[in-house]
Amino acid sequence: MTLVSISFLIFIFLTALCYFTVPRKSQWIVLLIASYLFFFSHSHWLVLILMGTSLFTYFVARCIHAIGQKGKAHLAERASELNSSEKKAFKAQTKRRMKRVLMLGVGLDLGILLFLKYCNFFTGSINHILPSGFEIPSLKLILPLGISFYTLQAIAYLVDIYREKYAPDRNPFQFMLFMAYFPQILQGPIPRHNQLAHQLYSEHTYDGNRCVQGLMLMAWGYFKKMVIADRIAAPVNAIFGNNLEYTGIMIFCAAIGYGIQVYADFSGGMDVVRGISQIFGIELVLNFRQPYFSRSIEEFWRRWHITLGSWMLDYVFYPLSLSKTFSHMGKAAMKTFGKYIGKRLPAFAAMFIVYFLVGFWHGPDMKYIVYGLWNGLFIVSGILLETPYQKIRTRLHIRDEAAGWRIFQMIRTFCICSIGRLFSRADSLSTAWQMLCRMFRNFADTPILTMDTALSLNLSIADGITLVIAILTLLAMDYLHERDFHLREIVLRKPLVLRWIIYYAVIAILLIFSTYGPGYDSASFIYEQF
Amino acid sequence: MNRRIKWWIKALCFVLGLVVMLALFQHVFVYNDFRIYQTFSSFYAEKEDSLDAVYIGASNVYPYYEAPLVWKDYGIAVHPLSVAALPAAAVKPMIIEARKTQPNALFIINLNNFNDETISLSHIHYLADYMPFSRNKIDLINTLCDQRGIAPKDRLEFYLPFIRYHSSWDELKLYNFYRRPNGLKGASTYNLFLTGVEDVTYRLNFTDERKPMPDVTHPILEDLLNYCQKEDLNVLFVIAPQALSADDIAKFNTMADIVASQGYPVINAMECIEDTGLDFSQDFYNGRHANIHGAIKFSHFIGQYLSEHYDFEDKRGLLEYASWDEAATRYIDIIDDYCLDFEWMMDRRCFELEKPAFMQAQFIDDQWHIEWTNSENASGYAIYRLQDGGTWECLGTTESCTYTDLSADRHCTYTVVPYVLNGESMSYGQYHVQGVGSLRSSTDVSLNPDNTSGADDS
Repeated sequence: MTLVSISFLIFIFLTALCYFTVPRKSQWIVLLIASYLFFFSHSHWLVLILMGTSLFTYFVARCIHAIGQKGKAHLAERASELNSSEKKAFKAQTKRRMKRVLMLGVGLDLGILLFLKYCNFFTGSINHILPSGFEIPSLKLILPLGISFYTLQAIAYLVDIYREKYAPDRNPFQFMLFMAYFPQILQGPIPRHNQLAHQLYSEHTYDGNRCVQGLMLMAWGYFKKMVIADRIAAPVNAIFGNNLEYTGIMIFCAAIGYGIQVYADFSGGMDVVRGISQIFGIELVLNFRQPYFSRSIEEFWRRWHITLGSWMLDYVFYPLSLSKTFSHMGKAAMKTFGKYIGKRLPAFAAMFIVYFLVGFWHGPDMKYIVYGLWNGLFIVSGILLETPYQKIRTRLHIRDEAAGWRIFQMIRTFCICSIGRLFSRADSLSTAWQMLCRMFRNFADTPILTMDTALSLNLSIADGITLVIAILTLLAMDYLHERDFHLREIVLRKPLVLRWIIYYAVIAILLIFSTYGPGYDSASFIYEQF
Repeated sequence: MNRRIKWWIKALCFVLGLVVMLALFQHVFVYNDFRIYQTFSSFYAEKEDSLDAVYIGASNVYPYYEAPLVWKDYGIAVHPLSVAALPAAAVKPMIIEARKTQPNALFIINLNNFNDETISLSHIHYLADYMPFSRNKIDLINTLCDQRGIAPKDRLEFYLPFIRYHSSWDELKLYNFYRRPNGLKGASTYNLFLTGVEDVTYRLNFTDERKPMPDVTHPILEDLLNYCQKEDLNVLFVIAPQALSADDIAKFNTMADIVASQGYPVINAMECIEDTGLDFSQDFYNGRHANIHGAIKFSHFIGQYLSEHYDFEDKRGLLEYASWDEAATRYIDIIDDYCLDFEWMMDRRCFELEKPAFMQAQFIDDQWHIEWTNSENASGYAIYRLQDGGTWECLGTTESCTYTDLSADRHCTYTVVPYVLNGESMSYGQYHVQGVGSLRSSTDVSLNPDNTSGADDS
């Protein structure tokens, strides 16, 4: 049962029917059952891993909280007996105990992920060093659905409980729902407990308009996924699959095409997920904010996969860059490289680690790590070269807010991101590197698009026209969103007849122009594999 | 009214609208095979219990049997229900389908497709796309999918064929939006059938041998026979003539034996090919399918068999069967452009008169000179000419074996038809359907290439 199947739509309909039929206080139970059924349909008995992780995280969180509470109670009881240094020492001791339990929790959650997802990568790397005959055999491991997403969710929860941002869940089944909430388990977003949990557990009344809004969002998501992403996938796959036969300009086009594909696919999936949640009265956090309108790579990562970015910021970047070790490193660097570099070095180092982890999170392969570092490199160099760039701009009389300059920056950012994605899309790091080199060495021997190349790319004229119109529509919609103009709300305010005409037109477009049915594989989302 | 109820009523209306839209899409996108659409829509348009017979089979039915021609000659209403590559397993469901509206009809079942074990997705679509939804349709889809090995989860496309065809939006034609039955009772009008001619004698085989039927279709035939017996159906089995290997013909013989052993009548046309009047050198467009010239002969043969062996009332001229009269008139209008003017008049045919062979065809001094061999017992010869872009026209008759066309265009083709006089009327014999000349050349003339090339060069 995938997000783009009729069985999934029927599943959603039945879940929604049950959700709004049962007593409101039991609505979360419907979601819990639906989530586990959905998970079971995908990963079968691996559901036990999710269940185990959820329960373990629940108890660890309870334990951390209990230690904290016990410490506070103890302090309150003995407030009059202890002096301030004793209080401080006791607090530190409590914190250490909490931290030990936290490390145990995070270690186990992360350990399961590392073992299941990265075990063969590590053993493979070790096997390169070992003499032949002594290799460690690789394991045939199957990943549970969404493990990369729910593990980050669990870690964030434990750390937040440790930081005493909020109290842990009392009901283990409710926490199991938070971890397994079915629309988002496939490919995120990665919400924090305080963003999602209370919505999942609270009661929701039926609201027709809200359901319609949710359905419209789902339709938009399906449009992005099935009209754009799956259609552009054919030529992109053709070039990546047979890249040696294509010149640099075609590889560049494939990189751009993949940039569009991955955005339409991932953000389309997010829209479907958010639309479903809206039907249940749950607002999921935004994971995309028109990323291709970014003017720099740094801004891009604030708009693209926002929840992963903010997770990395809160649980990796800040703890690292503000740590004592990094602070010492900065001071040492200041003496060697001067104030400018020294001040920034802890942040840069933490940033590289963050983007290394972002790459590594995508998959156990060097190509993903290089993809992450590619982004880190451009962000750091962008910051470092900001002053010289500013000088050049001033000399050329380019205004920062001039429309032409902004468009140039957006195109530049899009191209850098798309070229970087060669690493994540190509079969291997070496293939990606070869493609990147050929892009610059052997740019154009032949015209970009002849009938022969179009045919070899599995792209008919009709498909090409559909694609261009659909991409322009996506661009226009993103532009409207950027200007805070929300079409769904405007449509809802229109008279019934006009509204229905719009709905039918949207459904007709989806039914006719989507790539589904025999001969098409629109079953999987790109980010499902991560 | 309660707000919630109002909302639900609106939602229900919206869903109904959606269903209508989907039905419209099915209509526009799905019925893209003109011939199958015409066969099915014409069959379902027939009044209940009005047909004398339903002729079920694969592509060994519609290029051989043209219902309007049999109606014209015998007044028997036999409607084909045939689909290209109809799998053997689909025959029983087709009979069940036909019995819903024609419970008392004779079922003529073509057996040629029982020699073919393969089922493709298209074969299932050919049937599922055009059949109205019913329990029988579900059974048919499941039977064929089981045989083909299609998992239940992948069968949705047969219930909602739009799923398969939606991406063909760029191939839609006006016909997809506006279509209705052409009223020809499932008669063939496709181009290859009307114009194609292939000499298939080189692969023609006859044998009395018997070889086992294919393993897959043998039990299907047994099951079909059991069903016919259980339901006490009036059934006639037919094996259409084809130019196939001796092995295939031996399998057909076995099928005929199996059917006959159960007491059912069977016409094995390969065993009585002379009675059909078929000429394998020009009555086929390929080894497996007859063309219009073959269909005229075979339709007459079947019509004659039915009129001799069954008590079907001649319904020509009856008000309730006016559509059949109209179909016959219209169909003859269509085929008239591809045949000689007497060809479909079976009462004016004399197949015993052999076709003459052309000896010479030359274009000299703006005149065509043609010569042919004598046809035994012929009283004379009718000369026909086909000019570029036109239809066959009769130029006149001659008793000699030569003819010179004084008003000829360079781009002409000729054929000559031997005839005998029966009192005042003429009975026409066999003739070269391709003729000789610059537009076409018969196989006989190709034996004298100098003559024809001479005609072209002058």
